[in-house]
Amino acid sequence: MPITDAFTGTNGTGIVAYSANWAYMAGGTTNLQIQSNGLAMAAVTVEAGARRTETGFPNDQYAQVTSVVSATAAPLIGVAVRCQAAGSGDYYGFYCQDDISQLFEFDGTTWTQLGTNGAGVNDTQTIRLTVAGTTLTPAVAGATQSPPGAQTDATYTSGAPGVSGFNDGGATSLCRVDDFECSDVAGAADAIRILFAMRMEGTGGGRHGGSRVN
Amino acid sequence: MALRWYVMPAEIVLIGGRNVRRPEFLPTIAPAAPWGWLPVNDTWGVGWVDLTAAEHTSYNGSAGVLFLTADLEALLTAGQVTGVRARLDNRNLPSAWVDTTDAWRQVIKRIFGFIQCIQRYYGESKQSLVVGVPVTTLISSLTQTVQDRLDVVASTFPGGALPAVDHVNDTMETMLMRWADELILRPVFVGAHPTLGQIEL
Repeated sequence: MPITDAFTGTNGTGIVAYSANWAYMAGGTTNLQIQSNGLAMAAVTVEAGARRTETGFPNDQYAQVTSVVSATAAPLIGVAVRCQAAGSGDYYGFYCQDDISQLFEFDGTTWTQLGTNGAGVNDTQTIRLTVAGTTLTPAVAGATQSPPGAQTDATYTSGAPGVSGFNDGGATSLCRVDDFECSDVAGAADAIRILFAMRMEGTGGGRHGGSRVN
Repeated sequence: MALRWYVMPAEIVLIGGRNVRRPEFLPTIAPAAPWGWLPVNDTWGVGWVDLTAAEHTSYNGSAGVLFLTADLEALLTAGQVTGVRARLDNRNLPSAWVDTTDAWRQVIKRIFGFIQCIQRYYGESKQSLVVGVPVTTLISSLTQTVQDRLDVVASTFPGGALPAVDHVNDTMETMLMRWADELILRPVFVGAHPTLGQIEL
């Protein structure tokens, strides 16, 4: 069974104070915070991330949230995979607002976008990032988000799923997600689930006929 | 508009309170152009950009940009071989393997293999694998810490282990070539174009 979190808590509580099942990756312990029983970004300029604290996550993993509130000029909020040690700032992320979505790699200092911006999300859509081998696959509402599309990156090979966000000062109320779900630490069951999810999302070797480049 | 492949210099700029690494020159020349790349952890990457002819002229004339091809199936010309080898030499990457019997697809795929090795080593060490390390460097001459990291890179590479490092006989060149021999067998995804869809080598 996947690990889940409904973010039910007191408004303004930082994700780390909300639950010992979370550890901050970047941006401080309160910039990802509980709001209206969901997860939101504080109204400051910050790149933020948090990881699950369970141990034994499979290297191939996923993380997913559901968009509850989204808007333009709002914080971007989403998920992370292969989060390295707590506080390191090292992870892959995929986050969205109403008019853009972004896939990236963060190393605690430098944020590197992987591919161009994708479309934004609507309320009630799922935001999901799957990593298998060196392939990162962002998805919205069950379909691969293209752009940015699937991306190869070999920087991180293992770690924990989590959440990510970026705010350039937008109001906390403009963007919120809920219903976090990620790979279980069981391993084998998730590998099968991830493979099934990738097939449904239409990613993976050969499924796009080799190359679309002429 | 046409999709072309380049060696792409990167810049790091402060945006929204964070250091953002992105392809240099594109935000000025063609801010709306679709692109995808495999970034290296210092100052460059290799990827594709969809540019108009005028934008391509401008971008290709920018410092550090090397236009590779618009046709992945074309064979390299002698002049292109010289240009690619020089760029690889400049980055301490193996270059002697590039020749006119290669198609661009195989050349870029192997360079992507090198880039993935650099990415993984950086993820393990927060250091560059190749900066300041000529390809002729014997692995045995590197510090034990570096040699141990190379073993970890090989054994824990995402998607499957790479061939083991030969600590007695390997140079950086032989090790990277053997790793790239494995990685060119694996698909490489370089983002998606809005109309062409997923870009995969």
